[in-house]
Formats: sequence, C-alpha cells, structure tokens
Amino acid sequence: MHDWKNEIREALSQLALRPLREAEIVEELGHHLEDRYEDLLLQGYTEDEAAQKTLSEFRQNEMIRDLRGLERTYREPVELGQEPQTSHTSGLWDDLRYAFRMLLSQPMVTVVVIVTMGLGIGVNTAIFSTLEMLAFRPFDFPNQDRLVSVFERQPDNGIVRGSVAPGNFADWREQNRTFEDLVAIKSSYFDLANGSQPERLTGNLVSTGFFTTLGTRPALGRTFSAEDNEPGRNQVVVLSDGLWQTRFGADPQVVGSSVKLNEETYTVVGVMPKNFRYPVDDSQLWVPLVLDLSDRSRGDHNLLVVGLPRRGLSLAQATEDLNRIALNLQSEYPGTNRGREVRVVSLVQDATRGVRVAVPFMFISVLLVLLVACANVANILLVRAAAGQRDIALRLALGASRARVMRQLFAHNLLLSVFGGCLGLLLAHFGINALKTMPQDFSMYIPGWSKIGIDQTALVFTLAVSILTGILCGLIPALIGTRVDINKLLKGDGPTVVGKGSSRVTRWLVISEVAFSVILLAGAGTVFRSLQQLLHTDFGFDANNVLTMRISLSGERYQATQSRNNFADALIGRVSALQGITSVGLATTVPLGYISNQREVAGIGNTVFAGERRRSVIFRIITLTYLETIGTPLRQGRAFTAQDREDTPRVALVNEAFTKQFLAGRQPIGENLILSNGQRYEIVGLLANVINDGLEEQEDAEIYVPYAQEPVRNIFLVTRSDSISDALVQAIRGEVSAMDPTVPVFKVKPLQQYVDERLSAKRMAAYSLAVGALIALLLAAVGIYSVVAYWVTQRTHEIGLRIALGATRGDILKLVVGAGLRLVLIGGAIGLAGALVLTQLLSGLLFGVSARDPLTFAGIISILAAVALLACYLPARRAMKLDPLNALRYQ
Amino acid sequence: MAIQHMKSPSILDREVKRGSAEMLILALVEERSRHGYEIAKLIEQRSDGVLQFHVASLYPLLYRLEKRGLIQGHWVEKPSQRRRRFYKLTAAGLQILKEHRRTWKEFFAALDRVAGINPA
Repeated sequence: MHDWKNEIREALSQLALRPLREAEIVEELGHHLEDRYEDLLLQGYTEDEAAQKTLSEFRQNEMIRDLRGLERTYREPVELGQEPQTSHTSGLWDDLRYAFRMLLSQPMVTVVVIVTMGLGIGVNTAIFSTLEMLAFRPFDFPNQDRLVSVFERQPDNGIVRGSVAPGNFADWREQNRTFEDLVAIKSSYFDLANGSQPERLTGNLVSTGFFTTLGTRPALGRTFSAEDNEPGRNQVVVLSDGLWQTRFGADPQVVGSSVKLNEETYTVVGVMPKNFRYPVDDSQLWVPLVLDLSDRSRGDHNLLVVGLPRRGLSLAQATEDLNRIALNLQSEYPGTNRGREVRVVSLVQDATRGVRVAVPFMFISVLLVLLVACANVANILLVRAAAGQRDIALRLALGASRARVMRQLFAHNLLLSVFGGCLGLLLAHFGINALKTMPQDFSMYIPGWSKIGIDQTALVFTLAVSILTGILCGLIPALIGTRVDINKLLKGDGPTVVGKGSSRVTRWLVISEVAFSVILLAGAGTVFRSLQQLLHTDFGFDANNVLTMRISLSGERYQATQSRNNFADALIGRVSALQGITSVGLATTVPLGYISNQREVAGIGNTVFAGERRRSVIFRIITLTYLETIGTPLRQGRAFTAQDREDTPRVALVNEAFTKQFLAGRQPIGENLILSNGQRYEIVGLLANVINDGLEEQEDAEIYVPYAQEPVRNIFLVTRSDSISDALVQAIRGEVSAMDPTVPVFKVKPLQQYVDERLSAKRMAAYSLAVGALIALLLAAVGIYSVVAYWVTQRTHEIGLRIALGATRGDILKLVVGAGLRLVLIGGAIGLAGALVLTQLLSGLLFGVSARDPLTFAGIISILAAVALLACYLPARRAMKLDPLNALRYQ
Repeated sequence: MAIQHMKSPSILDREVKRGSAEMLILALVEERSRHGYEIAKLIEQRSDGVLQFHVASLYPLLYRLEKRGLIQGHWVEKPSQRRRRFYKLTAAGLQILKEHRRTWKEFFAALDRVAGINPA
C-alpha cells in the first residue's frame, strides 16, 4: 500500500509548521488520499492506476502555495509545551507568570531559597555599606578622594605622623610645585560664654583656603575669605550644624550675629552642612588661623596639614617635592629640623587607618558568605530540578524546545533572586540599624560611623549580586535539568537519570559550603580568642571603674604655679570625699588618651647623648595618688611623696622600657636624667610599662614627674570608684564648679572606653567574621540537610528493601548519617587547610594567639560535627520510619 | 451552470470561483458535520461529476473557513474506525451562507432576465 502520509509530510516540510499542526494536517489529508484511493479501486482501477490518479490529484505545489498564506498567520490556543508565536516580551511575561506559579507550588523550597539568598545578600550589603563608608568614603566633602594628609616624619624616632611646625608649613606652602593648595589646621578648645557657665567647645583654627581645598560649601552664609586670615580681621567664626541647632536654635538669622569665644567677640559668618565634621567628628566651630610667617617658628609642632595635589600627580611625586624642601630646611635649620622628613598619605587612608586592618577580613567574610549562599541556592535548585525532571521531560515530549524550558527555569531562578534580593535589602537595612545601636558607640572614634547607611553603591552591588546569583545558580540546574532522556523518564525509570550528574555536583557544593564555613569559623574563632587574650593582658593599669575628665586652669587667676598646686590639692581633697570614690589623681595625660606629651632625653648621669642618640619619650606629670588611682604598679624604689615640692630637688620615675632603652637594663634608681631643655631629675623609682597608643605596643619609654614640681594648666582628673554613674559625674562637676565656676570640665570618659576604642577595628573584624561564620554555618546545615534528604528520597526503594531484609533502625541511621558525614569530613578537611592559610593572613590582627590556635580549631570541629549530625539526623529519622511495603512500591 | 471548478479557470474570475466553492462547502455542512473526503465526494456526486474538489484545493479552503470562524473542525473517534476531523457550520457561517445564497439567487435571476438562463 502507498504511504500517503509520507508524501504529505514531505510536501509540508517546506512550510516548517509546528509539529503538532503538521501532524494534524498529515493525518487529515492522509485519510483523504486513502479514501480516494480505495474509491478508485472500487471503481475498477488497478492498484497502480489508482495510486497514480490519487497522486496526480494531490497537486502538492498548488496546495503548499495556498497553505503558505494561510498557516503562517494561523493561531491556535496555546497547549502545554507549545511555542506560541508571541513577541519576546510577552514570552518573558509568560515565563515569569509560569515561574511565579512554580514558586507558589513549592512554598518550602521557595522560602528556604529566598531566605538563603536574603541572608547572603543582606549580610553582604550591610558589610559592604559599612566598609564603603568607613574605609573608603568616611567624609562628606567632594575632594576627599584627592586630598592628602602631610606629616613630619622622623625616621630616627619612629615618628611617622608628626604634627607640623608653622615655619615648615609656610615654607612647604610657598616652595612646593605639586600642590594646588596646602592648608593647616590647629585644633583648640574654645570657651563659649553662656551666662556665667562657660561651655567648652571643640574648635579648629584653619588657614586660608581650608574650605575650598576640601571642596565644601556652607549651608548658610559664607566660609572664610583670604582677608579673614589676616591679623586683626580674624574674629569671625563658622559654626557646625550641631552647634547651630543646639546653641542657636537653628536660627537662620545667626549669620552676622556676635558670639563670645574665649572672652573675645567673634562674628558668625556661616554655618556648615549637617555632615561636615572635619577634622574630628565632634568639631563644633572653625575660626581663621593667623600664621605669623615672619616668625617662622619651627620648634612647636602643632599643625595638621592637608593638601590638594595637582591633578595627575602621584603621592610619590608630591612626597618627593616636599622632601626636597624639607632637605633644604634640614641644612638651613639643623637645630630644629634635624632628621625631619615629610610623609604624604591619602587623607582617607590616614583617617581610616584604624579601621583598615579589618577591611580584608570583612571582605573575606563577605565573599565566603556569598559563596556559601550561592552554593546553597544552587544546591537546592539542583535537587529540585532533579525532582522536577519528569515534568521537564513531559514538556519536552509535548514539543517544548530545550531553549524554552531553560528559559522558564531561568525565569524561575531570576524571580527567586529578585525576591531574595529584596529580602536581602530589608535585612541589610535592619542589620545596619543594629550595627549603629551596638553597645560600643564607634561614632566617636571611627570617622564616618555616624553616616553609615545603605548607600547607592551598595544598592547597585546588591542588585548585581542578586541577579548574578540568579544567573549563576540558575545556570547549572537549568543545564543539567534539561539534559534529560525523555523516553527513559516517561517510561518511569526512576528519578536517577539526571541524578548521577547532578548529585555529584550537589555533593561538591555541600563539600565547598562546609569548607567555606570552616574557614570563616576558624577566622572568627581566632580573632575572638585574640580579643579575649588582649582583654586579659596586663595593660599596666586597671581600667575598671576608672573615670577620666579634662580640666583646664586658664586665665590670670592661675598664672602663679602655686595657685595651680592649691587648686589641685583642694580638688583632690573634695573629690576624694565624694561617696563611692576610692582614689583620685591628676595627670597631664592618661594611657590611650590620644594626647601625648613627649620630651627629648639628652643624657643620663654624666653621659650626654650625641644628637642621633637623643630620643623623645613620653613625659607624664602626675600627682601623688595618680599611680594608685590608675593602678600602675611600682617595681622598685619609691613613689612621689608630699616632700617632693617645687623647692626640693627634681625627681622622676621611669618605666621598664626606659631602663631597657637608655640604661641597657641597668638599675635606674639614683641615676640622673637630663632632658634637652637642660632640666635634670633624679630617678627615684621604677614603674611597670603602660600601653599608651596601640594595645599591642607596650614598649614606650616613659618619665613621670610630680605635679607639685611642674604644675601645668591642662590636666586629666582621674578617679577610681565603686561604679561609674551620671550622678558621680554630676557630683564631680559640682565640686569643680563650687571651687571655680569658670573652670571647664570636658571629655568625660571612662578609661575603659579608651580601651574599647582601640579594640574597635579588631571587634569589627571579629564581628563581621562571626556573623559571616554563623550564617555560613546555618546555610551549610541547610545544604547538608537538603542533600541528605534528597539522597534518602532517591534510595527510598533501597532502604525499604534493606528494612524488609532485616536491617535495624540503627543500620539505617548509620547508612544515612554516614552518607552525610562523608561529605562533611571532606569539606571539613579542605576547610581546615584553608583556615590555616586564612589565620596565617590574620596574624597581623592576632594578639597572644597562634595562627594555629588548637583550642579554636578543636572548637570549630565540634561545632561543625554537632551541626552536621543534626542536619543528617533529620532525614535519617524519616528513613528509619519508612514502612518497607510503601517504600518498595515507591518509584 | 457549467463551471468546472478547477478545470476551466478562465470562465469566471477567482473570486467567483472561491465564492461558489465556499458556498458549496458551507451548504454541505449546514445539514450535519462532515469530514473533508465526504464533502469532496458529495460535491462531485451531486454535481454529476461536473464540480470536483481535490485535496490540494479543498483543505486550504477548509482551513481558511475555519480560521474565519465559519466552520469548526473537531476530531471524532468512533469505535473500530480511525479518527476523522469533522467540520460543522458555525452561527457566523450560517449568516454568510444565507448571504451567499441571496447573492447567487440575484445573480442567476439577472442572468435569466438577460440571457434566458433558468437555473432550475
């Protein structure tokens, strides 16, 4: 018999119809030709003749011509697996709607994936936003990226951030060839008269061009013009937004009004915008700095210098240029400029130097969490894709193209990542708010902390991460998910067709999740251990319940040194009598107090040091009770006594670092100490070392002298009490005010807070690693769970068979948990190796802990084992409860 | 009427031919649903072999009518028979059929008046 359908199919092939439509036409026309052929046979035609005639009547060219115009625009209702002839956008819309239905049909998977992505993206955005603000854009003025800080550098003394002498600044400014402008800032306190009570404000004297160099504009009025920096015309002030709000009631008419600062009258010329806080976060006002350039003083180093290099010039070029000038000054003024070089460093980099150590770790944390989140999402999607293979097979069989199915899977994953991204943004928002309300208020000492928020870069970053994650996570499952043997699947050959490829991928994904989590855990653990060690080191003082505050004895009244001594004695007496106070002392500086007073040691005993052997050491003037109050132990000799008076021979205490540095460890007591200014002291006692700047540095050489012999105006009042409370602070303020209401009390701060501030970068690194580690661990647990659960589903039949053959629950538990733990062991081993590398990198941040701290690593292994066991146990319990009959029936 | 549909294309223009063919199909499925071969066979039988429809012209026409919503095709499976696609007249098809009949009646009446052709 003739194969009519083949003839028709061949003719139709040139129309390239959709398969289903073609099949319909072939069937219908085939029947027609068949009927015609049989009719012709009945009419007496031979088979050959009938076939010939039927074919001649077929006239395919004519038919194809007619169909061509018809079928091209032919529309059919969309059937499952059919490709509707629609535009790309409506196709995408269909895909998204389909994807949305898919999400709703598997709420658990959807929720887990969205939460996983949300956590990953949320943590990323929060940390990224924080980093961006803290480490890269701490200020709010336009030129921050171009500006540089310029310091005097003394390589011999190890000083790299030295303040600048006015004479040197003036020469740099005049002779440089690389800067658009150089400006100087001198921070100072200003007493703002407010009735009888003076209020001490943090102010800054700034040289010509300060505001324009920073590139900032006032919110109200104007900043300074060149004339304002001329002597006699400098009684003008620019207010900070904060001061304007609190002290001037945000009065827009404030410009032009007069204020009393340090008993002189100033005219307010402008108010700065809200976020302008340079050079320190608590800057409240700016007044012009008048430099008396005829003087060219080079002995007093008190200026902070900021420069705007010409465009296109490197830091090295600017440094070289200024050093050329510095070299000339060295030979011209050997007395003051010997060994003084110039150091130029990016302003942002300098301002964020405390935070920067934490930056790489925050990045590592971000990266690893993101990797774990991606691995987890890919994992879950892959398992889901494996489970949904039959559905895919059916659609492929019904004629859907592989590209179409891929596109739908892709749309599904994209939709998931968009939802995940939205959740992530929300989490980031709350995360940042939580960060801002952390118990330690970082805003005081980390520039930019107060303006942390989700910034636009972070937003774009998040969206990019979210969409990329969708693409990456969608790609693997989509590729594997569509590589399906349709026939096998439809015949019901079980869900393992794809399983072989994909379960290998899922296993490796889980292994990598575990590995990344271990790395993060190790990092966080080691840094935390290091913090703990730091907190338990001997600082040379006991910060617990010690309160510090600054007091300034200014004015005529304290001109005579005796008046200062009297005030100090009376103050100590009054404050000691307060309830709860156990000890009171005064000192010019406190450890970690940001204010350092140094003197140069010119000789010991009969040895007078040559120029290059002279070293500056920390010089602290203290009252008798200071050491007891702060808790610095006396190692040898005696402390100061009431007999050490102005009219008795000068005495001094030195610390262990001093004897090591100047006496080669010799017994110091009885030695004579000579300072560069010619002052001689007899060393009467040896003190323990005290940390002064960084918590890890305990080798600062120090000299202590009695306040009675050198009473100065600016001092710290230090108290030790049972506890620190606002009431105590008020009581102390009350005593000072009762003695002299014009003496301001400011910078009231517990000593512990100074310690905390120094720990901030380490805490930030530790927190971000810890948060990252926790989330990574959680995600890894979900990953382990999903893979083991999938493994159980795949082997339901086998497990049923084992139970039927007599396997006990214990056997099944061992089987399932063993399968999961194998992955954990491999991942754990890889992770530990990686962790060793990470902690090695961390060693700069570590203190008192080895990079291979066994306690930390043991801790990680037990945490991981516990989490992994739980994640494996849940699916194992399900496997143990299987009814063998049902399980055997399971396909 | 001596129009041999596909064999003498020069007598009337394409529109008339198509119009007549359309009307024939619509008229045949007006009584009941019919499949393609039945329609072709009925046209040939009832015109005593004068009008013929072959595969090549019948099916494109059927599909076009279906697309215009004048007829509706559906697959029918009967026991021990292969399934076939039957076409039935839709309400819209019925309207068009009436229109066709009226036009053709007027046309023949005009021919009769002019040339004395009696379509009966």
